[in-house]
Amino acid sequence: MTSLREAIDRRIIARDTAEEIGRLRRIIIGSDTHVTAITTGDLPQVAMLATPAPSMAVAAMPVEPPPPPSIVIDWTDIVGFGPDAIVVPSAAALRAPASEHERYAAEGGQDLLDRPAMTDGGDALGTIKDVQFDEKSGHIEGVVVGDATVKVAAIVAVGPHGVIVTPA
Amino acid sequence: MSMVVRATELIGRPIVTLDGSVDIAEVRDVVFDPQESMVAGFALRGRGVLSSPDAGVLPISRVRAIGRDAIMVAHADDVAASDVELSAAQTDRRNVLGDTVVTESGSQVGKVVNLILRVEGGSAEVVGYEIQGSDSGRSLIPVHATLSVSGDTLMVKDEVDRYASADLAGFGAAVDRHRQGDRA
Repeated sequence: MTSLREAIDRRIIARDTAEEIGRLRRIIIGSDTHVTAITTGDLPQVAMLATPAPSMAVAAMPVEPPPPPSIVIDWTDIVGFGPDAIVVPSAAALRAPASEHERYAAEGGQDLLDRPAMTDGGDALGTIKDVQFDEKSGHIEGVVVGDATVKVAAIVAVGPHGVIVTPA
Repeated sequence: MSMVVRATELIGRPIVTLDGSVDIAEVRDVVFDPQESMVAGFALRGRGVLSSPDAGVLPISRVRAIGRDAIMVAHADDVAASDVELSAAQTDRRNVLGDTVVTESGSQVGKVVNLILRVEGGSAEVVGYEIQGSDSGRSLIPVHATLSVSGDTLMVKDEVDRYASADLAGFGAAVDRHRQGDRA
């Protein structure tokens, strides 16, 4: 069992070169409450460029957004998720977010740490201090609230009101 | 697992969607079906100081769970602008809040100030009433101690004191014991 809070910022190393290719920034959670991917960085904001207008009012227009950076690594590409490093076959494991869900997660929309948690029955659990997941299967086993670990059968939703879980 | 609460405790409780964890409204009023002694649904208001005082209604059939901290619905579409059955329940004159409580031998014992609900999953049953006596003391009586209800009066058995509880803790168990005694 692995602690998400301890795993954040862990080195990601390519097996073929022994080079560090990034550090764990976030996990991406699938609908089956498994980690489906990890990210190594944040998505950039869309840049705005000011141009002079005839009325002298400053107008802003968005520039063409750059291609999304390669910051995602599929869980299935991870060779080893160890206590000191996460090993992938090569730097080619890095790719850009491939869906709206991945973009949303890479922007922090799925962040669980320090968010309020509630059961699907409408009972508040507390603030999530940590997340426990299986480093081999990627299955999310529980959330730590206060001094207790609440085993979860499913993460139902992550949104503005917090994290909704189905207790096991 | 069930819990016993005062109806007024549900006022202000947020309505949260299961599909996106969004709090879309909060409870403004609890609507009862006096015929069934059940909660028929909730009248809603917006969240926040500057929000709308009327944010639609939530029929009990669309409620997934009533919890200690939130009322859960599947998605935002479960809230409706209006509902025929809820409107009928809201105008039913047999809604007992504020009713004078009178025993069958003609003594006035107080006024109904709250309803006691047993909440389980997504349903809420009226299991008792909170009465404020003429001495300003409050007591809880199970709904089965009542005989009849009109627009302004709740008629109770003479021996209503035998069924009264001073507080909410254990009231649910007391209701169950009373029901089992009636069936014995």
